[in-house]
Amino acid sequence: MSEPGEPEADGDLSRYEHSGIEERHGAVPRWLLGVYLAMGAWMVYYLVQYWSDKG
Amino acid sequence: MTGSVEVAAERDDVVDRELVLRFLLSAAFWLVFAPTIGVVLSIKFNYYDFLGGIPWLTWGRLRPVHVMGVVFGAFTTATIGLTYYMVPRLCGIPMYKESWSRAIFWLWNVGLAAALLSLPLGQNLGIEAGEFPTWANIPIELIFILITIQVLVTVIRRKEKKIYVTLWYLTASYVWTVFNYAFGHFLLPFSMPGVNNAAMHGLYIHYVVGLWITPAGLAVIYYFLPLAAQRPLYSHKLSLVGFWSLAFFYPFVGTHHYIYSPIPYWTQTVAIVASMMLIIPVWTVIQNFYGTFVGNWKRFQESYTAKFLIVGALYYLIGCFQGSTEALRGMQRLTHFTDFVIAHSHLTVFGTFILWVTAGMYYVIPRITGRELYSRTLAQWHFWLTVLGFSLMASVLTLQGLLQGTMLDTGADFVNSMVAMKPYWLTRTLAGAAMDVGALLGMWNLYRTARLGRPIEAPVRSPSLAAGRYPEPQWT
Repeated sequence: MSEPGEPEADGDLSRYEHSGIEERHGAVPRWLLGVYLAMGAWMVYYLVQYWSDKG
Repeated sequence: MTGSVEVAAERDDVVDRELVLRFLLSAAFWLVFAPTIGVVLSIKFNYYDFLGGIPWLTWGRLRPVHVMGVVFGAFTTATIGLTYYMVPRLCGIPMYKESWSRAIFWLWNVGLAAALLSLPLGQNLGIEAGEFPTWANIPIELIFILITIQVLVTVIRRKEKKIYVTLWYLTASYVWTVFNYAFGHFLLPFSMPGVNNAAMHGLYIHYVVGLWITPAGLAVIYYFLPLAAQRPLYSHKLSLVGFWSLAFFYPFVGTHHYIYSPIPYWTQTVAIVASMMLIIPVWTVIQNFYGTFVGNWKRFQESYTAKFLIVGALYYLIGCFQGSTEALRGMQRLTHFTDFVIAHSHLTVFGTFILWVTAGMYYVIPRITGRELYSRTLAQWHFWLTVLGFSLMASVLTLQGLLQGTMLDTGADFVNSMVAMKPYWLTRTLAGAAMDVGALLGMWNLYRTARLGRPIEAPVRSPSLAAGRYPEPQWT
């Protein structure tokens, strides 16, 4: 049993008592991790390649 | 032990219902007024001398009324109203210094009306999205400071142990805006000449979008989405990834307004990179939104809050991808000074954030008044006129932007590139008019809901209902 004011945990479920909102702690999907990695790699490439105007 | 009715009373007591209703109904007025000015402006593209004989109704005087009216009238007024609803409920206590809020309501709306009226009269600071005269900016800045104090202290004194992501976004957006509003209205117009002013203006205008409208809008959808979907939010972890990546990348975005300008090349590159990296927070929150709805898509049919949130999220995905890629030098060369930029700004500000606060209004007004939605038919008309009108407008603006850019890039005469736009501009006016009629019907419906909607039954002591909750209003 949760203390008053503490989100009621049900596995990975948290509940906000006064608003009735619940949230899970769902994992970051693999496709999204792939996006993070691809964007990170692109960022490094672009910064190095276009830091200054090479004419 | 607490009886269900007592719990209901406790929950009800934390929100100042009358104040929230006042803010949302005044937002309803601005939500009709400001876009209507946009339609009037769009007519000038079709008939260049339309209202041209009256100085205070010329393009240069009216456009700021439209922009400032949508940003600070429609969006911000609704957001403040929703802030006074969401923050107490997420903290479990009334808003700090509730007595300030009534004064804030009047000061905000009267100040805003006077400021918007001053623009056609020719008072303008000349900073895009920072155009209100100084005498109007003093009360507006004061209001942002007061609300920031209210939000911060309420969050600090909260009963809930965890801070829900809505509070992260709201707190940050108010704190950022206190500084940015002062920067754009008290510093930028008076103390920075030349190219530095342009560079800083790029930052200011994108801080309005990225550090006010975006986080405040995300706060709204994160609050109402799980409630509308009747499902738990998909992932707390993703909501934090989205928040911190937005906070990290957005401050560098603004200079992308000045690609190919005398501003140092490396700063343009940093702005381009930051713009593209916004794909991370955008796709992250989109995954969170749609992940929340998986398993209960029928709510899209049942709830107008859900309808506006989900469609707004789709426009968010499209508009932000457009904005990120638009910053790339190749795309910038093609699309700068074309209607592609206008498509992007409408997709994000109207298509996304205005739709999200509208969704919040559909959720809140029946609950704080204890009345059912007045007319489902009017709500249907509002939704479909908005979606069809706006989809047409966004498509047309995007297409004509690409066409203009291609024509100019291949050496076409500028005048010919304008003549070719005539059918597109006419379509845009008709689409915009449809959106405005939809907004008028929707806001009238919400007003009638507050006044004449069928009363929702009193709280029921039923084990099938969560303790102390009113039965859910239908269709909201």
